[in-house]
Amino acid sequence: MDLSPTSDPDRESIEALVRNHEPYVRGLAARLAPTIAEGDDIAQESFLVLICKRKDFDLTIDVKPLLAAIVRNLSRQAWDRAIRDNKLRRDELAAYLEEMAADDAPLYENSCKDALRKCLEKTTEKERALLNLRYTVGCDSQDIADRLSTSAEAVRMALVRLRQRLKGCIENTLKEMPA
Amino acid sequence: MSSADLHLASLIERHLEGNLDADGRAELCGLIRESPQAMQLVREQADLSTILAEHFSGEEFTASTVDRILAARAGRDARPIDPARVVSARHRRPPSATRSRARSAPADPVRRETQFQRIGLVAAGLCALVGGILVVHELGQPTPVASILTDAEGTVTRGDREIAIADGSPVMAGDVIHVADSGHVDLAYADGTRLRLSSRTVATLEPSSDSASAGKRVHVQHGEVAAQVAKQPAGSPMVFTSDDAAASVNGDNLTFATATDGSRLDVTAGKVRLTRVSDGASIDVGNGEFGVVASGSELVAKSSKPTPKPEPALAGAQQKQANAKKRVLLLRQHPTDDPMVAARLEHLGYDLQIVSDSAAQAADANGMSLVVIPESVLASNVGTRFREVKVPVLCWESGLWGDLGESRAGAIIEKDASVVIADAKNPLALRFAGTGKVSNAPVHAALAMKNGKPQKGKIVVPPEQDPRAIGLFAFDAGQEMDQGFKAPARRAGFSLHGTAEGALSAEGWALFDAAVRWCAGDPQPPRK
Repeated sequence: MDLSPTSDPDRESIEALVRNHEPYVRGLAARLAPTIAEGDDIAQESFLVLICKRKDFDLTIDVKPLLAAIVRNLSRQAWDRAIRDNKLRRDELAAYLEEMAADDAPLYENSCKDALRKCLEKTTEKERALLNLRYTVGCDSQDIADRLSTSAEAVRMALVRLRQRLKGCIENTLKEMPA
Repeated sequence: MSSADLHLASLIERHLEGNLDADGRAELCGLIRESPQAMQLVREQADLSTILAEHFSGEEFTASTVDRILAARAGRDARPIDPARVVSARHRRPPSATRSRARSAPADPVRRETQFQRIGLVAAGLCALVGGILVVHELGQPTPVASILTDAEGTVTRGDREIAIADGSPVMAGDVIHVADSGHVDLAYADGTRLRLSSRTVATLEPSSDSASAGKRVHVQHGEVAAQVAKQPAGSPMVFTSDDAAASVNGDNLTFATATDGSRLDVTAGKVRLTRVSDGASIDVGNGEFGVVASGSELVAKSSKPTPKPEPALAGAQQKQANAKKRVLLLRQHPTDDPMVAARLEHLGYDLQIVSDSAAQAADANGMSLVVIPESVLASNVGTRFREVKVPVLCWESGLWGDLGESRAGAIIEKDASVVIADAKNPLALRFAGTGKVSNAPVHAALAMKNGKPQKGKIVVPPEQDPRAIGLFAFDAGQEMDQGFKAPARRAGFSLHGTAEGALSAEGWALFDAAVRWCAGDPQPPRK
């Protein structure tokens, strides 16, 4: 990957960088950010910071820890904004961030996308509808509940349980998939 | 799940959707701190939510991230990055080391502030203060979302004010755009996305949610929006909504139409996710396909393959010029109905105005060259409204022929795919004579009767068994129709039952074209 300090990275090298590290950076940002939506912003911003500051770093070696640090800092700033907006107590936030940032459990990689696709095929029509409303239409639990004539709590439970089931399915599918 | 688990799940879900209040956050943080299992669940749910969001957004993250980086890079390169953002990364360490440091003490290098950093932070704070003052000054002002292009006709409702649309004026978040009865409104977004709102359309450019990553949203209350959507950021597709449907778009060309009885999506480039909001069911509508969300309609993507190209009565540009100001009013019961007829009329060069059969009024015919009433309308919704209009009417809902004064009878009989041209000299018969196949499938022929005899206006009949069955008939203005009622303007009937339009042969479409052109007073193609 040509990301040496003296070269101007072209689109291809940026693409390669993003492609290689996207699942990790996005997943980490999702864990750390105040909301999933902000997680996506932070992930993109992290790559942008890295590219803009490429002259300050040795990019010939693995950039993953570097990206992780950037994600953490940006997430922290996002939480700071949340604190200002919501008057959240600092110690509680700190505990959350420290615990979450400290864990290095593996994040989803590119291979998980195929596994997810297969697992979604096994879901019921009602479950796919739920996911569609959540992720395609962008409804929150209350919106979904209103549309499906149920309670917001029921929707939240259903989503959490469905994700848990998908997680198990993805892990099983990955074991069965050829390396 | 135990009740404690259920409560945790509820907190997590609200956290993921960004709706967790300060108390909830504090509670969730406390649970995470006390329980490794709770933290594990939060992490797993966040991870799954991330890949689900990516999957359902229908777009790879990479391309849009690269686009954003390339677009922002020039400006960012010239601007100093906050050192607090990146200083810890200079002294990166393997993940395991990060973990041990973070758990043992708050001395994570991310948070270690050097004097230089403090100075930087103070300076950044001052900048933020000044910026904040400016931002506060702007607060309360609506956010520009798009701008109006030239030749727009309509009004904008902003709060309690109604503003006439002016070329180049900005459209603010929350503005409701009302397009005039004639004309259209073109909108442009900063990223190159273009919208065309058709006549009588009412749409709101909805404000983004509190998240900066929220995508563009357009709520169409009524009418039709055609869009060329530029590539959208990952996870933030542009969404077109109506009361019953949502179309999620990442960088495609489409038309999204809605009426009181349903919504329709036509895709001309790319792939768009269409969701029925009543139950969340969704389909992908690809290039050259359409999908419909309506009561009683199956949610499937169907091909909107173009009908055979109409034979031009005049050469290309000449034809367009001739039809430039000709407007046709098409009645529909559902937005899903008669897609090929609509496409055909547009191919012929007419400016199509579509109105729901239940909402249609005689006054809608004013300024039109032709009113088209397909078999798919509900006859009781239309009744006698167009009986007296002094505008030509082409109708193939046999249940309306009596209301239009054309014929008291309107029975349907099954016939085969051929017709006999009874009056080859009639301009509507074109060059056809004798028996001709008009459909690739059996057609439904309609009976237009007067005093138990075939109507005078018939020019085409299905062959054999029943010579009373009329496939196509026409009355000129002033010609007596049924019970002495004289046609107020040209009136014609065509035999085209509902879904049979897809089966019409080239000859069948040529006859349809001829009926349309004759009614509208346009020249027919030369006879061969």
